[in-house]
Amino acid sequence: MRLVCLFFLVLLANGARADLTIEITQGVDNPTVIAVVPFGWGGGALAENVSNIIAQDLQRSGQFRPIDQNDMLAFPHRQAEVFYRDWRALGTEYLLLGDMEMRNGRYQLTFEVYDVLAQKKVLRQSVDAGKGQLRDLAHYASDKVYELITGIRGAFSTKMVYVEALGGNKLYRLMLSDVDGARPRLLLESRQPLMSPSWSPDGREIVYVSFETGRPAIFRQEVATAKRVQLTNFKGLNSAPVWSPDGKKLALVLSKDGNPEVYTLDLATGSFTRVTRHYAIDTEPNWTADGKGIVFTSDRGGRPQIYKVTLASGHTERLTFEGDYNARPRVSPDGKTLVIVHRSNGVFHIATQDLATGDMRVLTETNLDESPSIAPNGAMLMYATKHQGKGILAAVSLDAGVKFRLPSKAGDVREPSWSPYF
Amino acid sequence: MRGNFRRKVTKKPMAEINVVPYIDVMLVLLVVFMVTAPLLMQGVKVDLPQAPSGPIDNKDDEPLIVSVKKDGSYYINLGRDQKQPKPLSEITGIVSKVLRNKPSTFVVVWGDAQVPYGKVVTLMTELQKAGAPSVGMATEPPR
Amino acid sequence: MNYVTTTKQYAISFLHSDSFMPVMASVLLHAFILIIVGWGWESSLVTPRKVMPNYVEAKLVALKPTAPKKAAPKKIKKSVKKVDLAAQRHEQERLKQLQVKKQRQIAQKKKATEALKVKQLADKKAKALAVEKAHQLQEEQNRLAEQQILVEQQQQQAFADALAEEELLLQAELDAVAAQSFSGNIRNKVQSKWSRPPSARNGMKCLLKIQLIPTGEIIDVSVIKGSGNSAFDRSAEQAVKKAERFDLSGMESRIFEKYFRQFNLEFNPQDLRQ
Repeated sequence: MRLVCLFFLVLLANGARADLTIEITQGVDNPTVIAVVPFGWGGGALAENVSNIIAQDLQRSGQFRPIDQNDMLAFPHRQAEVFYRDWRALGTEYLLLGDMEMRNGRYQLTFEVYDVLAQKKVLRQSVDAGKGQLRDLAHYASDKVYELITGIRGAFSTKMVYVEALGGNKLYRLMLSDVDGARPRLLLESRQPLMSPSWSPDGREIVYVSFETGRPAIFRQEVATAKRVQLTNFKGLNSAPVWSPDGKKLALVLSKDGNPEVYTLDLATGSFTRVTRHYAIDTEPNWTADGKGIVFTSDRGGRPQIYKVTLASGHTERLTFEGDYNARPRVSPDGKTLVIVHRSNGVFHIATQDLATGDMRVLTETNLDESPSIAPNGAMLMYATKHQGKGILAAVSLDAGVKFRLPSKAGDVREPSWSPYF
Repeated sequence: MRGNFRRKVTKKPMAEINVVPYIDVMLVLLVVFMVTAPLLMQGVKVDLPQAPSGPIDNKDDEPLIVSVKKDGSYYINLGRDQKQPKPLSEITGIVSKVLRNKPSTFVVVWGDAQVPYGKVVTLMTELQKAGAPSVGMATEPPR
Repeated sequence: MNYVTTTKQYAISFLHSDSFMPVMASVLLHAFILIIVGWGWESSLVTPRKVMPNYVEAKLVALKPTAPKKAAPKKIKKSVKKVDLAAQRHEQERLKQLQVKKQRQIAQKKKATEALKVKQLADKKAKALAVEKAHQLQEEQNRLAEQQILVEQQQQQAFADALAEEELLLQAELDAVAAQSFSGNIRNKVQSKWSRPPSARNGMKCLLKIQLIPTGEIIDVSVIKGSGNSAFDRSAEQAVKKAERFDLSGMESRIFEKYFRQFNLEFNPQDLRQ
């Protein structure tokens, strides 16, 4: 009896001992190594290589480094075929397997994510899609994997609109495409310039500026039906429309009273409210994340800088002080970061500024970077830049600073706008 | 009187150790080790050459071990069936894939003492072509 | 059929017999011991043991044609050595014979001394009887003296105890310093492996419990207190698993048992966005 007591006492003493605690405060933040194994598929050739699309999606996010399919030692399709040691030898951290089959005329994809180091399955999901939706299937899987591993909602299934100028500005096209540039669809074609497309928060409509009437006018158009309505027809400038986060108002720039000022338009009543009153140019408005204020570019200080106005009080404050040119402000969805076009040494870059601390960080190093547009998850942004004399789109992640160029189009591409979640 | 005497005998303290519990405990331990031992074994059985040498010191990652048996068949410590001989081309393929993704991996040749020298050199040449800058030769400390 | 009924009957009779309880108790005890002994093995069995072979580093070298020149002189040297060897062998045999002679002489001497010893012992016994009485007197005196010494010793003991205690404290302090340097190594290794997800923010905290074996290999990692962000917690766990083993070379087992057999890691990023 005494022995048993002693045994339990020893156990207790072991458990009660105060353990040494080592604090880890830093890390290296390398991209996660993931192996996207070619998915199992019994049928004939598919229109799209789903696993390839997922690998490319993840790579473009900057948070992942997919392993080359040629370097894989095995191609498992089920858990029973997974041999963790092999994957570990390749330095893989996560493994994505999938199996596709045809069911009732639809593609069904079952995919599984494994934590190679912990040697366990961490996600299993099924999704189906119709004939022409293989890319949607792939982007959906990418979103889920991205969210699982990074803790941030994926934005690969979202879309973007952009303006494409053909034949040296002879023909303008408003285009809709996936965020990786695939599946472009024509929304509007015009012989006159098209500018500043912007999404409604529900992702059903866009607003843009068109010169088709001979002078700039703001239009609103449903994406699915192409039904459109002209919203403004004032003398002078009608530009830079941006939808408010609650979807009820537009912020825009009008110069009907002399010089460009920021206005809001109540979409239900059609009434305009003047927001800024200054003899300098006030332009490029963008809503703050809570919808209670507007950030805009103004040269009231002599040089273009970013200002913020609170709508209720009309109180205006200057936000940027670094450099002699800061314009085109965009507020990240979490409301903490400001993305701007920043000029230093005569070169235009995309930069971010922490709204709380005022710290500025330059994200891109190429010349003539403009028109940033932030992804709805706040992890990436799309911008327009020049490559070999031609306008193209590029994307950069806000954290890792990884950049990639979207596949080149026929014409000059500019002014991308990233859609919200659908 | 007689009964008294008998009682005396039974009450006498026992002189020898009771070994039954010891045997019992030993048997239990034996069973435990018999169960765990096969799980600990792995790899291809090879008679390593004997030479004084150091252990792999402070390497983070598990080394890639290419074994060569007496009959000249090659094995590698990856894949589902490690005891299945593989052609040299397949082995160099695996080695080069691993080294491309994890260049710090250390490659060790686990060769039988009876394997012809030429065979080992061929293997090492192939491994070098696959991207291993230097190759370790596994040895056993001399008895 | 018949067999079944007999076994049934036997089982029933066993259930009611006196030996049922002790047999059950012993079976349960054995099962308990098996579980206790086999329990801790589980986690280490799942991850295959690593083979860390001894090795000789080898590099392939192409031979240059300068090699054959050296071959000739070597041969001559070898033959010279052979002659030497024969002479040496001769010398060794002579030495051996000398040694055998010496050993014989020593044995003879031993016999003589033993005889002397027996005589001396008899003399001693006689003397002892006479001395005994004198001793008793002395003992009485000694006892008194001893008591005094005892008191003195106790005082000394107390002093020594205090000294030992101080030494122990000093030892513990030294251990803590040694442990500190090892924890520094562990911290560096984990930090070099930790790649945090973009959703990680300053102020997130995740506490992991790590279990090591004396070779430094990690046998178990478990989350004690998560941060609420599963991606963050998983990245912490992965950082430890990627580290695989810590370098504990030169660590005394006392320090290992005290600090490192089981310890905690707190992941608490300081260099990220708010």
